[in-house]
Amino acid sequence: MLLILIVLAAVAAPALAPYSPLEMHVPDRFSGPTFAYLLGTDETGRDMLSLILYAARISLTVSVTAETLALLLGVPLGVLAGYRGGLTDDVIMRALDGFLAFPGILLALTIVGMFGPHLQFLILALGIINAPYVTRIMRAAVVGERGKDYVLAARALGATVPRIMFRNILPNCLSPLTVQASLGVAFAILTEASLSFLGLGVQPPAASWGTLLQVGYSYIRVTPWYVLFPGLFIFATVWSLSMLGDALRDALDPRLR
Amino acid sequence: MEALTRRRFLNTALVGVGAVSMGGLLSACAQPAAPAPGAIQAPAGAAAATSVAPAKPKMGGTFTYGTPQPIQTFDPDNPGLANNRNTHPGLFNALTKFDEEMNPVADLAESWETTNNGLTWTFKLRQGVKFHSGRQMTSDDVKWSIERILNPDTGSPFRTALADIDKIEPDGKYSARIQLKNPNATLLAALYDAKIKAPENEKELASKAIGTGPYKLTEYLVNDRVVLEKYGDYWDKGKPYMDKVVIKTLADPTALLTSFTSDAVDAYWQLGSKFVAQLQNDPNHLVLQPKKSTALTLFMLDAASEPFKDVKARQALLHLMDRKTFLEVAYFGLGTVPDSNNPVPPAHPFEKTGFPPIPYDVKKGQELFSALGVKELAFKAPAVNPEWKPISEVLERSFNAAGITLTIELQEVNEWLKLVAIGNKWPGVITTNIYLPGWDPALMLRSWETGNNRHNYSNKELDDILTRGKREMDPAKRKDLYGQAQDTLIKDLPTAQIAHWKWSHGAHKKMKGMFVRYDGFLEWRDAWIDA
Repeated sequence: MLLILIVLAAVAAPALAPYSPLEMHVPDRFSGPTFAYLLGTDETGRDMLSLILYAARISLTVSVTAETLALLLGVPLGVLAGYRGGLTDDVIMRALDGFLAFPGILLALTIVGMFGPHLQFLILALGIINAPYVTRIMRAAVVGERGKDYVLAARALGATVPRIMFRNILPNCLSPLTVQASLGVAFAILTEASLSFLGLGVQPPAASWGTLLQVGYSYIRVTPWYVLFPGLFIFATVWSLSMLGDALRDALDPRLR
Repeated sequence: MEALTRRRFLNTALVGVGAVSMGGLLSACAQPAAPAPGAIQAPAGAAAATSVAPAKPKMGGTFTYGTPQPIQTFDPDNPGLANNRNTHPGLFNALTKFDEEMNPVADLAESWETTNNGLTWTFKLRQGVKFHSGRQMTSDDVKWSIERILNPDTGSPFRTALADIDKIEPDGKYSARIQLKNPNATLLAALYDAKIKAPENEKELASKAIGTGPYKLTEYLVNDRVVLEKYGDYWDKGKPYMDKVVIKTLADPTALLTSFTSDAVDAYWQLGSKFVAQLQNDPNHLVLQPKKSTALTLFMLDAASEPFKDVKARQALLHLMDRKTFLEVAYFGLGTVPDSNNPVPPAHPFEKTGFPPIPYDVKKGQELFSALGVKELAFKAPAVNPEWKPISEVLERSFNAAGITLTIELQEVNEWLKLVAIGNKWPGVITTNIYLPGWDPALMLRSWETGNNRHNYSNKELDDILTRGKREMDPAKRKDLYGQAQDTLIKDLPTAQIAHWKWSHGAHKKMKGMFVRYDGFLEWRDAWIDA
């Protein structure tokens, strides 16, 4: 429910925001919450509520899309590595180990640095750096399932390998994945903020929750609400996604039916 | 006891965060209503002290100096990033140094005289000066030290300022004679950057420097700290006052501020304007600023490419710059707006006044750009400097009002350095820079000389004036020449000046005997701790 509210608020930002996110009221900058500015103002006098609503569009789009990409890349690889084992498993996992040896930020910097600080490359970078974690989790879950009776039964019945992997095993492995997905979204929001600090994320005058956090952090001693409100929205989103993940797991886990 | 499930944990977390946030929100709402304009005020009077009030020095103690960047090299001839020069007041001396009024005064040179129409300078050196290795300093070391800078292979940024030196010869063990190709009024100021080093230390100069300074290097942990300890054989008897200096790196500026206000560090180098404002009510911590400053932030425009090769495009941009708001949002009012775009700071002895202001006028800017067919421009700046974000947003607002699209790109610093590499062209781009030039106008205005600037500006007439100014020893004639230089710069408008400002540093009130030099560095050599 909370997630729906947040998404709706983002979609309806033009109608809900009391001001344009670009409108500056310089004399009122760093204002605390008042009737005129419900969540205060930023360093150029822009209304924080308006900024947060419009930033939600960017943050949700970037983080959810990036995590979806991570799932699309990581799940098949993890399932393949976990089910096939042997050389396939070794090749995939050693390649991922090499990937994970680099700090995620460094990889993201490389990708965005090569192609430019555009949103699509930012999403690509975040998706790629999250994918290995998805792969590892999937692999571990699949290794635990592959020896079970229902898998043997499916093989005995002549099911194809893809069918066994994605139709029989995958539904039993969603539980850890839903948790990882919600964490991945939060990670994507914060990583995007780090990249913005280095000049490779969202560009001004647009803002994301992460960039608001990153800028607000330097004013935390005098305007703590600058960090508090974007942080609350991030928390609410991640919390909602976690609850959604739990609900989906409960709905999709065949053992709970 | 019921097991803590994930769902229960999440719900508990929601309640907890909600309670904390509500408390924070109520507290924020209980604050005074929206503050008056300029809510976070620049500190006034004593809080912006240029130096800490003198008293009788006390001996002993450890001074911890926090900086947000690590010390990468000790080589004074190739310091690289500005932060690396923070060790120099402790480790090195030069023939001259600056007093608080930015006058070159004696350091390792006791005295000097000039003959032969200003072409020959003879420096009498102090005797009994020892390097940290224990060896006596002589005129041979002075010769070697300056020649190292003049050697193009060293790649020293100080070479240009000393380029008029033809040769240096020892004149006995404690006297050095410098022969110039041309008279040079800036020699004494330029010699400040020619630190005296030991030739036998050259191979280890970057990592294990020895000098003649009051403190010697005893520990260097890369990316963490530099430890300097009192040098017992320092030539200036009775000094230094402190036992130890620790230059500590704390990469996150906000964390460094917390360390500073909680007294884990005693001084904070390069305190950003937003932090200056946050210290305004702190009774134990002072903000130090130089009495004089040449620091200038500006927009650089490629004078060799469209559209800014046309002076009308540069005028258009200046009309679209709401500089008062830039100063407010980026520098919290700490600085002055150069209304006429003069790069020489106000009240500088060589400042020429009477130039007409270039007002913020969106309509005028729009007309000028429109006449040139300009519909779209790009703004590119390094993301690591936090002031460019609010400045770019205010600029974009003006461009929007003028119906011109401004695309903002805050770049990774190496990407920006590639953009502004000398000789590179960047059509249609407005970029940024921060100048920290010398106080003498010959050093200050070098940044607009042909071949010495990053924005492809070249005016031979200006070059000639600047060369003549550097060689003119008569102060009145120099002033006239630099007045002509300013006339040219106001006519050409090669860069769009944003603000004259002053570097600020933080110091605990117990730190005495420090001041900020014109170039923004904290001079702590003769500091003491009054705990």
